[in-house]
Amino acid sequence: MAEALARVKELYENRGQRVKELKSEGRKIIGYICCYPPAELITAAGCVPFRITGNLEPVTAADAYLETLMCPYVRNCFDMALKKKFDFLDGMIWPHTCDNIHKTYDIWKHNVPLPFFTFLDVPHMTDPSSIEFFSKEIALLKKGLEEFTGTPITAEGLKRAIAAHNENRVLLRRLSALRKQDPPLVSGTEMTQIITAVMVLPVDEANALLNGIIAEVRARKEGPRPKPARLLVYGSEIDDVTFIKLVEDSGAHVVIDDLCFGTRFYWDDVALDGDPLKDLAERYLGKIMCPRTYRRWPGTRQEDLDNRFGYIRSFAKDFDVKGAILYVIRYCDTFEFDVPDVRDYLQDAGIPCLVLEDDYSLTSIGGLKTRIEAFLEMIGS
Amino acid sequence: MNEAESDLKTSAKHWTEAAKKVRGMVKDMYTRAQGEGKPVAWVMMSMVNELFVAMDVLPVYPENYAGLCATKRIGEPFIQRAEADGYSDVTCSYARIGLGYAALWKDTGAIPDFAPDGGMATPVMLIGSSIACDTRYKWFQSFTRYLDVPCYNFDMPIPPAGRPRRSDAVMHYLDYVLVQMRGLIAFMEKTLGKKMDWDKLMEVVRRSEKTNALWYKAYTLAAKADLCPMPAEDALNCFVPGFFMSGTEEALDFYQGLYDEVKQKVDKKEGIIPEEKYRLIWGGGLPPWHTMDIFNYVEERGAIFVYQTTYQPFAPIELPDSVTDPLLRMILMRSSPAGMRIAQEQGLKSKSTDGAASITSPIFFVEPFRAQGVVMSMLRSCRGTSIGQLHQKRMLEERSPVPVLILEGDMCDIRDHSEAEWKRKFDTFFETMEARKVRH
Repeated sequence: MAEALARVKELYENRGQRVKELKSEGRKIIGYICCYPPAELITAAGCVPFRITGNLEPVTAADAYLETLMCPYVRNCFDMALKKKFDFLDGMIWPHTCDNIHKTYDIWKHNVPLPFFTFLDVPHMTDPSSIEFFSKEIALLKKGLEEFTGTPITAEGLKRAIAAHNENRVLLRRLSALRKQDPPLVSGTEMTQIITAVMVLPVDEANALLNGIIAEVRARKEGPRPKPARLLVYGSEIDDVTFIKLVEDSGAHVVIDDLCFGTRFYWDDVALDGDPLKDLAERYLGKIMCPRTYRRWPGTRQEDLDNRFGYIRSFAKDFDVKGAILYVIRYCDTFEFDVPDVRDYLQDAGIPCLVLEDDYSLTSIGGLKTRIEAFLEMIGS
Repeated sequence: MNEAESDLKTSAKHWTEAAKKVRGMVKDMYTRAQGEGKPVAWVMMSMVNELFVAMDVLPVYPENYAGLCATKRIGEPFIQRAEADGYSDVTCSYARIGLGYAALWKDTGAIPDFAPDGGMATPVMLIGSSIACDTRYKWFQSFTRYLDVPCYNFDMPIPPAGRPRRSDAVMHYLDYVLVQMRGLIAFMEKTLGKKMDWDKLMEVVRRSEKTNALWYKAYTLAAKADLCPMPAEDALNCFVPGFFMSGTEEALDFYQGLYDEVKQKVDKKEGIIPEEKYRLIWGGGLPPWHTMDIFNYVEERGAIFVYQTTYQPFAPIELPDSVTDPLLRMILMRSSPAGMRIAQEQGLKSKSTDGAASITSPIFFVEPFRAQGVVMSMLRSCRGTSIGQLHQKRMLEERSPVPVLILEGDMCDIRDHSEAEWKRKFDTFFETMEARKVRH
């Protein structure tokens, strides 16, 4: 395997590896969960951002702390925390993104305390007042990081960090564009590994790695083989290759996604022409397309649907997909409420959909495989 | 099936005269909305009822209506209709009933004949918010699938209990909520074609402040009494005017009546059971609206729920006349959680409530209300009230310590409820409490 992709595999399988090394060199590691905390601030503070991920292993320790009828992804992450899998963290940024994450803040903070543990309130609306509120929350986060590190975050430093993270997103989009051709040059399984690896590295190292990956992928003589179907996967926290690989092993290419460990992480940049805190607020609140954010639209129902989901149709068109799999993690209420509308909206545009509701652990993989194969047969692949 | 045929007696016995009045008030609420010709809004409970009263809008709360359907055990056809459209069986069962109702209405062009109280009147607008849970705005967004009326959602962020209260953060929360409420008013003005009457709103808000104070006094007086005259199942009924009619004369009169009745009973030492063998707190989670007579089962065993933390008033605050913005008064009126006030009055040190994880945590109430046990209901379709119960249990057992029982079920979806299992668990719980008494 090529060097950069081999490094990806290594980081994917041992996500704390690099940050542990950096910690031993005196760097502070700040964890965050979900897409909404601006990692740019962590970088600007001289710390290393580390995206919290799960590991699909059975939840055991967390059973006494978190209810089984809540997001299995959050339970899994907390289980890992209780088992000291994140013991390299110096701090944590905990956003209000959904009920599951919001309500775990006090519990995680109380049971796995850290020197720096801060809450970031993320509004659900996108009004000008919401952007202003979020800017103030980001300003508080900045202040908190400055107090924690003892070093001020300068405007120039923050702009540099934003530029570095923008570059990171540009590189991921460049890589993603290599999936437009048929067969795609990079598989969905590889993309999941790459994005996950990028999230556990300092941004400069991640960018160097991405440049290496792009060069290796472009130089490929033999990428993924042709398959009958090109699919889009919609969902939330898929930070493990098992599901995407299952789809790809069933006879399809996953060529584009709408996932938290996917386009939701890298599709839009932060502007660099104004107040950086406001620019961060506008990108993270205004541009991340997640059902947890309500987008006010005073027009017709159809216009509202276009405003909410039009980008998924654009993905489907640009990446020439033949169908979509809507993979919902059970108890993820904001996705559960949107799925009937997303399904109908895509089907109205001639994009067949398969809706799968599953728990994060993927223990029922046999049943999923049967349904995916039936779906592929149905769409004529 | 029609409403009369489905009218099973699974509701709890009402102990106070006030609680007996609530059903009639609810029926009136739905009937008036159908018959008075005033604009109707379908609203998610968001602590802003005063705005509707001031603008002469009749609010209809699908959340309340879903509870009514569950009480009458006719929620299932609505639930099944919503699930047929793809709404998962773990989404809020209030929402599934509401969405199923709207879907059936759209399917046939008529209100289903089994809908209680004549159904929910046709709305001119939908109003949801982000207060307390995600369902509150997602559900209303989903209503637009079936109802072609404007929908407005507004933000009402509430930080978690453990977030340090920095004064700068408090100010930007306050500023934001005020702007969001003004946005809602602008939407209503546009939809209704008329302006808010700010003087009337001030009058309504002042009335609401008095209402809230009486409500708080009645609930806490009953819970503190030597013999409790108003158990939790009555409180779970009597919250209805406070949540869904706040700002009206009707609600004010109701809580005046409730307070007078509770005071009289407390003065006469009239409890609902002569010997309170176990004093309990209903410490979180929504009750099983379809099987409320479970509370009577508990009472038959000599136990009483002296308080419930699910639907509480806020601790009253004497706001000075210098606060002239009625919107600010609405926010401040609801800024002091009952539990924290009671804990302060009891002189509980803040450390004993650290990590309480919720302003409605039962940990605040155990000592002040002399409770010997706490019961919570963990609901398959409600993240908002269920997440954190295990943490609360740990905290209580560590610090109080009192036994805690967590029951599993659902507030409206009876398919997720087992009456026999609840009874068996209560029996075991009482055996545990008895054993503790012997040991001590």
